[in-house]
Amino acid sequence: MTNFEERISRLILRLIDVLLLRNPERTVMGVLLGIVFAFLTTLFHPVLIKVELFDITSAPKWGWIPLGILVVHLPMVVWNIVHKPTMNDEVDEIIRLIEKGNFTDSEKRQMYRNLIQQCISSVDLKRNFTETMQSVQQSLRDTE
Amino acid sequence: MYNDENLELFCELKTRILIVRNVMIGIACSYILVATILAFLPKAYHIYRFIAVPIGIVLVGGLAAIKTLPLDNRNLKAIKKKAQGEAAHLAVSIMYLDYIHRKYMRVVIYVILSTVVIGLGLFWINPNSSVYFLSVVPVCYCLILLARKSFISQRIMNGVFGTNAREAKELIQFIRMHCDIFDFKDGDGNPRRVFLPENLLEASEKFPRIREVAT
Repeated sequence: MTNFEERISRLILRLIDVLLLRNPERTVMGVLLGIVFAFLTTLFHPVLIKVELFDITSAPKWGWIPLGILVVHLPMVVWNIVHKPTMNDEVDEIIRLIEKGNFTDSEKRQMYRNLIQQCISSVDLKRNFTETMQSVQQSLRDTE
Repeated sequence: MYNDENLELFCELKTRILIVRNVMIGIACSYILVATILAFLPKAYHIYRFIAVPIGIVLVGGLAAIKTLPLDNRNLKAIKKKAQGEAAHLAVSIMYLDYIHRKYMRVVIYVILSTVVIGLGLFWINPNSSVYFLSVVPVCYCLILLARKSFISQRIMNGVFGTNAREAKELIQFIRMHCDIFDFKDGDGNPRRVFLPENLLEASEKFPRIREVAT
């Protein structure tokens, strides 16, 4: 893959991510939910037309799709507010420094590679730590 | 292909080539040095060049070879570490690809089946209405989803995935959220070799990056 092809594929991926709101499978399911809403309003049209309080049936059918997307993304928004983010401040800070720093493209690539390798090794260390903890606990149980 | 045996063989060969190269440089240097010194001496002393040249070769060549060895050992470790790091990076990328492939395929099958049912339902309720054309939208989104997967796959195959901020975040997030599925150590504590899934093995024939780095 040449540098030009790499840039083009990166740009297209970014565009797709914007189109899919950075959460592809959720957005697709949201579109499906919108269609389901449209189907239900069409199916229950004779009943809904009798409701005088609000007129759902006159709403445009395309309008259900954004509503479906919004409904599907709501739990994610709530989860992000309630729970701790997966990315910690350190990683964000490193990424920010790499982006802001006066580095060439190849240097940046190498730095991102190194960052990912560091993350892999930290996960590996955590696992080893858990295994060690488990073996210590097991040996304590055995001695009891 | 990267594996420990090939890498060590490669490093050993590289070390030997470097030693030979440095010995050759040593010989050339010593010859030039002795020839220069003899040029300034009277002709009576020229007889000593038969002794001076072999001593110079042994001294300079030997010193060059000794100096090369620790450097190459360090080099070997660096190459090995780099190759292992790259293999781990690629392994995580491939796991990520496998993960999104399974996830997207599930979504695509689910969405297409539902859309067909809903489209037929809308058509059945009101065949004259154009509402059932709405069913085209999820299908288009599914195509975009598959396009995204194929672009990620291409980037992974060429070893460039995870080399910008957004992708690095995506990979790190994947590593953090699925750290329970990672195990890079074999039973003996050495790094585990990466085995490619069958469909990727076929792809690896096309893409040299995977062939070079992963096993």
